[in-house]
Amino acid sequence: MFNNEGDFKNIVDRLNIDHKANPAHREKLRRQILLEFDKSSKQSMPRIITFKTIGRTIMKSKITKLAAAAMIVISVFIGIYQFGGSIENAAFAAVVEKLHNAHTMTYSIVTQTNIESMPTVRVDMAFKEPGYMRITTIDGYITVIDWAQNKGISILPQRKQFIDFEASNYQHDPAQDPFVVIENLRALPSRADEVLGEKEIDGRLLQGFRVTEEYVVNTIWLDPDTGELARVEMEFPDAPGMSVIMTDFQFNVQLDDLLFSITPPEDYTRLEVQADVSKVTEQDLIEYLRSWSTWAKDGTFPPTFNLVSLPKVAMEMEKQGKFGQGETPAQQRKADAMLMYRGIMFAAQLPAESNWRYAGENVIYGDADTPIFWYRPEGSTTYRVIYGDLSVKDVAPEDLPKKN
Amino acid sequence: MAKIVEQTENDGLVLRARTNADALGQLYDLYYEQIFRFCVHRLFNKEIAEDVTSTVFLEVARNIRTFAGRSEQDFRNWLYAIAANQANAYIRKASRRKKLLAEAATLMMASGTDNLANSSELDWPMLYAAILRLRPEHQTIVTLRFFENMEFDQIGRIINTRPATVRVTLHRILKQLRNHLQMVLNGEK
Repeated sequence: MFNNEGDFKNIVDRLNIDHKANPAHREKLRRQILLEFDKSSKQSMPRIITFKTIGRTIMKSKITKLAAAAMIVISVFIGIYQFGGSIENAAFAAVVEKLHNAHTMTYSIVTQTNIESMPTVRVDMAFKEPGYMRITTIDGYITVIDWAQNKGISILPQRKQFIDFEASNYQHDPAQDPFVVIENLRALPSRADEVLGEKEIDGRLLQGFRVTEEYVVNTIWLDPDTGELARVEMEFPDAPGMSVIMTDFQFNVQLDDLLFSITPPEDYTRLEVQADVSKVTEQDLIEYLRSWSTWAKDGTFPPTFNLVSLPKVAMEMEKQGKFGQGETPAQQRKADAMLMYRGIMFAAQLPAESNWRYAGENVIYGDADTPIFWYRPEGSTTYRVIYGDLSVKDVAPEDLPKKN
Repeated sequence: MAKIVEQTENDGLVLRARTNADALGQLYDLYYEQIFRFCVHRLFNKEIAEDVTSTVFLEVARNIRTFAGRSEQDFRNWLYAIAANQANAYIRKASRRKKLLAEAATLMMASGTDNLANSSELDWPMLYAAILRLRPEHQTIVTLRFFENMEFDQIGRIINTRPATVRVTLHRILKQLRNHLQMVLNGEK
């Protein structure tokens, strides 16, 4: 009988176990796993990540025209939506309360990819109580949102134009409060899975922590003297090469109310472009389909609505010269990016029960007889069917197109 | 709990494997033998070990795109955790236990280890039967410690518990095994 670990180990060591692998199995399994890996790439990913991937790749092609604008959209949406988290305990809530006593907050977000044609985009964020938000891009675009009035304005100084918009359908979520979001980031090191030690960054000695979450790997750098957040780096496993870096955090600095004014400058003209963050609708989808058919030289609709393969398809089309050429004004690019985003998001947000289907491949805009998209709205017994001329009809399930 | 993670030249391979089939293939080549050996040590049947190894790597292929780890160490821990779970899932079927016991007896005869630990009664099938009575998680600890020769901290990372807990648990496992075997040898079971 064994009395301790050593005795037990001796018993095990006396076993003459054959664990020589079978090369045939090894090779067969190798082929199987690579096949499985390939298959997994074709399955849909969570929506927010899908959008990031789409955004990253789309921007490389057609869509180079949309590049800078779409990155701005992504940065802004990341800024607004991405960093929320749960408030975990009362102590933390107290810290948040304290942070709320800070009346202003500023920081910068730098979004970059490893794609050559993709510019690195820097966005400066500023927040001021109660509920003002200002986003400034490096090329001078300014967006101000007044959440109290649910109104916003984008100002284009180079063109002396502005876009005003309503944000009334935006769903306010306390966990997405920018001050809470930043405090969540500051508190992340308490559940770090790696301690990175100290490192000098931009002339400051900072203490690093790596925190892995479901869709993002955060590297948080704190000032060891004050415990304050100094730098946040985010990488997204599903969008390799893309990173978001947040720096230059400042609290309670003096920010003039004029910075958050949603009154357009006197000599600026209004640009009639919808760029709001309200709920996406069927009309957004229709506008996206219409726009794509104008981008494509042959007037066809997008070949696919598969959110994963769409970027690849778009790049291929670009290589084959299937998109119209010519310079697009910067503001139009921004509008296109928003329009594309909203159209895609409409489809992406449809629940599985809607049984939505896209059949627009090779269909040319104007084909009134061919259904290209259909879905069942929540609670409806009939389907909404969009045809090639972008007309829409309500159709009973038994009359739905049979095309897959 | 924060930990310092050792860096290896294959960390980059792990990151690339999320999106790159060649990188995944290289990781497979690095770890196939280890996982197969673990499965053999856990199941004592090469055919079954091949099946379970297949399940492990197919699960890796399906999920690596969302794998959040950043280092080879993370990957290795994840891989062994999957292997341990798959082996446990296999063993949980009572009918399979009988087959495994029969295999253990065959192994004993093939390797001439019928007189283990200098005891006139204790043999490998008896010991293996006792191991199979343990909770699956405890069986995993026995295999990782005595067959894979892993340190407590490495086992802890795989089964997601502290090294000190592994150490204490193993101590209790051995006591439990010893008591059970003593009763068997005494004819009480």
